[in-house]
Amino acid sequence: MIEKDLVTLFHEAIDDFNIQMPKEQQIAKTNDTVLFGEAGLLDSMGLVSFIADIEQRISSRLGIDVSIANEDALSQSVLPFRTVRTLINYVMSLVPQY
Amino acid sequence: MNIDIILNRLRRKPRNEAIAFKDQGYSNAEILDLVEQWQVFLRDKSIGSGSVLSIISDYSPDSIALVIASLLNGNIVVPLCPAEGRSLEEYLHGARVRHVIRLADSAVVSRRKTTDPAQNNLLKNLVENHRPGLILFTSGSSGGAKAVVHDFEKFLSRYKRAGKALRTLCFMMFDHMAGIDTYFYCLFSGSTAVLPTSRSPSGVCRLIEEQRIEVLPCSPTFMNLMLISGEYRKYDLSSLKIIVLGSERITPNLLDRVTRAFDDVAVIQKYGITELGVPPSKTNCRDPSLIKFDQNHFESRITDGILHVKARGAMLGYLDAPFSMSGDAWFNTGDLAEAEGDYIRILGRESSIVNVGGEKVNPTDVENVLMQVANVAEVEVYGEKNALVGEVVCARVRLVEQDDHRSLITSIKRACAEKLESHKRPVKINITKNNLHCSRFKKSVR
Repeated sequence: MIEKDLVTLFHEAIDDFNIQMPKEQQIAKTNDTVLFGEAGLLDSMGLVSFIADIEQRISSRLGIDVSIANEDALSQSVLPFRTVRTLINYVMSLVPQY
Repeated sequence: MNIDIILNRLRRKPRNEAIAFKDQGYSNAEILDLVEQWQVFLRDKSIGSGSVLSIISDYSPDSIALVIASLLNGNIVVPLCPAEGRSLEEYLHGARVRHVIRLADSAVVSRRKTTDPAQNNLLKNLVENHRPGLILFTSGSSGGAKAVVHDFEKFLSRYKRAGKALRTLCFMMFDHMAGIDTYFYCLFSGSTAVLPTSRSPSGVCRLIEEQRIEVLPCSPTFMNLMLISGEYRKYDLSSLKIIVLGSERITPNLLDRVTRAFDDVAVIQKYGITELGVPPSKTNCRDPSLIKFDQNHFESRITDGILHVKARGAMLGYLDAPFSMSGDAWFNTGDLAEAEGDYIRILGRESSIVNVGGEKVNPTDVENVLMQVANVAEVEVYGEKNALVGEVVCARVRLVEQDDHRSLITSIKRACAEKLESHKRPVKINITKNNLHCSRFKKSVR
């Protein structure tokens, strides 16, 4: 998967996520949007739900199962779930490149 | 002897129809004849008293007569359905079955090597006291299936007061507690037991029309399938007086739909477990999800949200598990329940609870919301491991008609956002074309 495809996939997931959320909790489609942690838009269930949606989209598009919320992600010194960009970078490291 | 009550009842009204099967009625006298024939058969095959005998069959006049004959013969009876996907050998081994009679077009008898029943204390007591036994298996939803031993005579005592004679469909399986309860209730009450040859919604609706069935006992899962199929609108079901729902939780959504579809039919609930049987109970007429047990037969209390009961006619114990019923013991049913006045409401299985970050989620609460979304035929909610919050709620959904999956998932997520707290919302929703129930018309995962 190339980065451009992954960004598109993220944007689709953000659009769907925003439909269910009140305006103040909607995610802006920018790299710097803080998702989780201090001043983050998502609580833990919001993050779990958003990540699960990304996983499902990757599974249906590429036919592979990735686990984004895994022990490796949780043991990193800076959580990869912090911003849209850090999450995209982390997911890029999990999916095959071609 | 309780079995004599059945025989006397059959003898008293020889012409009454005891069983209807494949467009044919069988009178009480004909059933008595069949019982005698099977008693002779058991003697001829040297299947003696105290022997563990499995009857592998679905319902038929012969299978019911054979169960009665085995009871009279003092056997320990193990009814099993020839259902696909089950290893029958495992069950035969687990119940220490010596003799097997398979009923299809003819009776096939086989003898197995097994340990002497006297090596097991429960079976030994039955044999030594010349008591017939009944062995049923738990569904295995919380651990493996366990062989439950009942004293068959004591088991039947609950039906002595069975009163109303109504044409009743034996829908629940031949080897399931609810199925056994249905046909013994019919035999004791003088009701006609209508035996199904198909358990599809259309097959059942056709049979109700043709046989003028008055009582339909079934699982909530089957009732849901019947409602979404629309088959009930194609047949004359005006004979139906009572729908008996049991063996699973009745969700408010299902209750609402069933009472709207059958507005002049009484909906009642039955509660039963393999270990304790099906006690006499009363359903609240305003809210049929509420049930009250006859405390003379079935004392109940709710401890930590779980239903505990004491029952007369309860099992003697498990064949291979370290548990036996003593007079004062409360039995943990593993069913979540809440009290409302004198009544209780069953909320689902404790073992199916999903623990999301310490918050407990009952899958049936979520299923109740998902079933309200348009075009949803069946749902199955379950837990999946998650590194962030321990477990998350996931759902499989089968549609009535194929539709754009993405827009349906959005509809489901919207409904969940409106009606459920965030930890209860399914984070993964998979649309499937597969049935989400097993051949016994219960949820696949429970």
